[in-house]
Amino acid sequence: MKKFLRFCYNQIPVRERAATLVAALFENGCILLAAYAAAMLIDGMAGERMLADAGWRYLLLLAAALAVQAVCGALGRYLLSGISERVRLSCRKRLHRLNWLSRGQGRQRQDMLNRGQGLQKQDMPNKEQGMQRQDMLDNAGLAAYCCQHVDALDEFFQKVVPLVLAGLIRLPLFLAVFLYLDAVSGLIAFVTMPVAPVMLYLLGRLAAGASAEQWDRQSELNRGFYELMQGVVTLKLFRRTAAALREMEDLARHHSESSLRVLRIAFLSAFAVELLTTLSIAVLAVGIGLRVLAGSLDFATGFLVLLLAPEFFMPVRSAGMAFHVLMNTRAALQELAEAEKIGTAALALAGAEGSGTASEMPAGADRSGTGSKMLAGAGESGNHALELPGGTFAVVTGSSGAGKTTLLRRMAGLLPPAGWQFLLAGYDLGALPEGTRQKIIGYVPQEPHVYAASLRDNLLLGRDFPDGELVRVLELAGLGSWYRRQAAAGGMEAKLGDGGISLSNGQRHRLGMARAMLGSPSVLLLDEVTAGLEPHEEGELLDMLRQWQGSGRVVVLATHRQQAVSRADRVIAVEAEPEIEKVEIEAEIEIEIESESGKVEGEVGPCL
Amino acid sequence: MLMRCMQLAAFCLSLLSSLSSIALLGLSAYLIAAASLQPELYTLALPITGVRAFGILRALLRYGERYTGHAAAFALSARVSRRLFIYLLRLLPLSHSSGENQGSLLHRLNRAAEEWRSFYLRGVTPMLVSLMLAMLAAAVLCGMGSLSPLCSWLPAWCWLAVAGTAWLGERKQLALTAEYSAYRHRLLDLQSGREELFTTGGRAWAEAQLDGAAHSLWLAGRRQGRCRSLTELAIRLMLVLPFCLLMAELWESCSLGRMSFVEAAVLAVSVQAILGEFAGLAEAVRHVLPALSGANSSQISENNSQFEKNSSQIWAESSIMNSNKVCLKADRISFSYDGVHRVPDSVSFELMAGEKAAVLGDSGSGKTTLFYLLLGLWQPDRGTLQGSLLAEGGTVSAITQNVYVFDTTIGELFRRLCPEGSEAVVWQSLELACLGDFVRSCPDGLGYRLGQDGCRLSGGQRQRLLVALAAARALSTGSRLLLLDEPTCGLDRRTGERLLAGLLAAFAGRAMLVITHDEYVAEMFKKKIHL
Repeated sequence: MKKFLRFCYNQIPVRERAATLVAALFENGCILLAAYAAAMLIDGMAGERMLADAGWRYLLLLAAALAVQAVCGALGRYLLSGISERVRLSCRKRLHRLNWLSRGQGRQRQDMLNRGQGLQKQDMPNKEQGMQRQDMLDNAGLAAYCCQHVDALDEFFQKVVPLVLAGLIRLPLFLAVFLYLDAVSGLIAFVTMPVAPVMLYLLGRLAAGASAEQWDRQSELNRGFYELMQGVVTLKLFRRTAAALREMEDLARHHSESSLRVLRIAFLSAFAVELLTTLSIAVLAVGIGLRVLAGSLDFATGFLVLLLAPEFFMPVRSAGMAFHVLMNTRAALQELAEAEKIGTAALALAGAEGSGTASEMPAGADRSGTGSKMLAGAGESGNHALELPGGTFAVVTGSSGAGKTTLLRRMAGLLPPAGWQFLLAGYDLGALPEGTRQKIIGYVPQEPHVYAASLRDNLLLGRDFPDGELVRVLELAGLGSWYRRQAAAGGMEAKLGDGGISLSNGQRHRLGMARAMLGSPSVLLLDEVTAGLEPHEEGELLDMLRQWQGSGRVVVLATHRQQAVSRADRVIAVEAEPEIEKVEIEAEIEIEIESESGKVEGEVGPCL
Repeated sequence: MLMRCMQLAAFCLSLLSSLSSIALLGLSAYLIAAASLQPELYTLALPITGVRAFGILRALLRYGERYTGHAAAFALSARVSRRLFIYLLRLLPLSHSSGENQGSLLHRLNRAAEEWRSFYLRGVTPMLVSLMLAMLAAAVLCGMGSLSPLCSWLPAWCWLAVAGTAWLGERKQLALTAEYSAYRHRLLDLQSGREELFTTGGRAWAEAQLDGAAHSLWLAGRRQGRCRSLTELAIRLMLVLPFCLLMAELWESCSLGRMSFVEAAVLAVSVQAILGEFAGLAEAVRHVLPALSGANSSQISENNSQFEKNSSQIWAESSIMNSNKVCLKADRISFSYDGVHRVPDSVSFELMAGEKAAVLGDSGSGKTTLFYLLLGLWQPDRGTLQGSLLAEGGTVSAITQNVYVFDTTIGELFRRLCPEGSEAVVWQSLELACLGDFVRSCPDGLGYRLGQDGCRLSGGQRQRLLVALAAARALSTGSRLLLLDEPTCGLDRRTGERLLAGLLAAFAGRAMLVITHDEYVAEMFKKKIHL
């Protein structure tokens, strides 16, 4: 919390800080002036002879004071909202820099992160919850953090900061005025003032736990709702919609019951505070009345104190609500800090690992791929090596779940090698800087993503290639005719993705391939790209890949389709052999073990 | 009914608490003003007690108001969520490319539900309460008759002016929501594709895009902030002027002797208190406007009519005519997503009870669409579907490709989707789907958590789990027709063969339609349907 405050403080230029403070000062000063003018006016009405010009003077003073108060108040709010926006923008930008790892097996990632952070298993407060959070970070995570949690900070600036400012300025100022005007009232105010916050603090401690629980309950509810809504098609397929509706109603009811229980505490504390403040006003009023009756206090002073009393107690009364907002802000900040911690750890483990000594590819390794070999070395067991010279078309095969995708991901750098060494022309892939590795390796995942951007952006993804190159690579991938058909929609400017032209499964795979082939990588990794294709289509694709790779490049395809396996130069079978798995891929054991050991044609390579 | 009572109770409590707060201040003013005239003490006894009483009363009433208000809001929110869910049940899966995908639709509707809740709690009640106060005050002032009509109606004019200004100011706010969803949309999009951004070095580009979107959001936010501040200033000034006017009036009246100064004091303080209540009106309008302007609700109803052809009931079956023979007959059915391309296009086939067929076709030829049509999720544009195999809800067991898997344990998922199946049935279907060994090898067994959308399973395992679910449903409900969409996707040949052989054997007497791309699978079926 303190770090956040310091962060905010640094964000605001000095001029604005001063302006906010000055605005608050003037606002409170004007309240005093306005109350004084009003009191004088009413007092004037009590007199036997009412002087008209005196009346006008006070009226003008009243009008002016109220107007300036209004202006300062609005200005103060405006400045605070500006600060809030700026802080939120900075938070968002910071979150944008964090790129989480790709979606791997949830537990595997967690263990990896634990190792990375040096955490012991028992440090994790709730492993199950940790995994759930991991999964959340995977999918809707970034959006939730950038939007929901960051926006929760806005309330802090809208509700808490003005209150704190008011409290800091108004309370001492008014107290001083009270003491000056009427010592007894001042004393009453002084005594009652701290009681409310103290009680609030005590009740707040009680409510804090409840508030955190409420936050958790709220997120749980949102998750539950969201999941139900996402699973509507599933529920319809299994004719469970009626049950789902009941489940949703139960969720909602459960949520409101527990929320009310929590809120009851908050309401009770608010009640206590309000009772104290209104009674204090009452006591003040009665005291003044009796003293005015006795003649020891004149009407004007007494009336002035009465007018100021509600304003004096206002910060105290709103403190309850502000406290609630403060708790929410703290919860949001905790979530954000958590996200940042996980994100930077993940980044360190995966991407930045390759900040090795080789800052650029040495002259010996040919980028076009001639002579590039890929060696996959075994880890600690150390005896096996697989050589894939340039021009090799390798197929990774294995039963479902054995780890084909994981292997490809390791090679692509999305997962740490975890004891494996992938060597390219003698250079350790893991030690290469990120930029170089991205140029050398092209990776097409199982589900290539179509971004909501133009076709050009979808292919380039920030790289710089001329349009001619883009068309060439589209032709290669088999999207040539499709591209020509998009001329009407804008050609390269055609919008794809959500709200744009939709692509079939096959077309999406081809787009992913075109994207990966754009940089002429030396190694092309393909994950199940032939999955949705008819046999003749698959044959065409394999032909194209062969032609493209020529004699220099290495293509690694993970699949189980027979045709691809039969046409491969090299077959790497990913099997489940317990002893090796134990050594290298510790966390995968429980998930990946398949009982069958598939033996495929061609050379049975070592287990990777 | 209960909700209406709670709403009414909340409203009354809110009104009463505001009244007691005004009474507290008014009586205090009276007390002090009267005291300055040096009357007897006993005349002040009532005001003194009254002040204390109102002090306590106010706190109590506020507590009651908060409690009932929140309870009513929760009840309303539950009702809105329920309606929303039913709407979604009718709507999904989306068949038309309306330029919006499922994710953003869900988000938008979620926000609509939240807006309705705050509409009631923070919007309507404060507005109505302040309106009542204004009316009451106007009535009292008119009744007193010592002020000019203009001043008597002052609180009412104020309310109108403030509400009107707030309304005008808020109308400009809607542009911000558009920017916000654009930003969120961009975030989700780039987040889903972050793998490839990582491997192609597109992270910098992605970050630049996101920063750009966040920047536009910031600009829109600043514009809104400026607008809001100006509105707030206008409102505050609008409350200053009438008060000064009132004081001038009071001065006039007092000097002309129409009013005693005690009355003047009480009026001044009370009216100031009432005007103070109006200060929160802008906030209330802020919550009312989005819901009332119907930005969301009108879109919902518009979408509703657009998708009307989708299905009129939640559990719609397609326009199926019963026939005597137990079979399934499709006659020249066509369906179109966008009115131009028809997939499938004029497909006809017949399936007898117990017959099994493979559905083949190039990618994009509409095989999954065919399943949706058979299941009654969508209605065909042309052609007819007949057959008693499709007639009632329980006879079809199906999985299609993009089915969401709930984040729960395996056992729980089966319980949820096939409650009629016992544990024996669960294990049987897992064996049929060749997942038995895997589940047994997990330390948690059936308690293995699946992760969001089954992310803790590999692609092939997830597909097999779905097959197991369909099988469980078929076994426990006696479905006469099974529709399986790519059951062997992600599996190697041996496992695929084993899976299908098992299914064919277990469901020998039932009709089955299997979509596939694999040749070896197609070979296992005598009948083939080409799309």
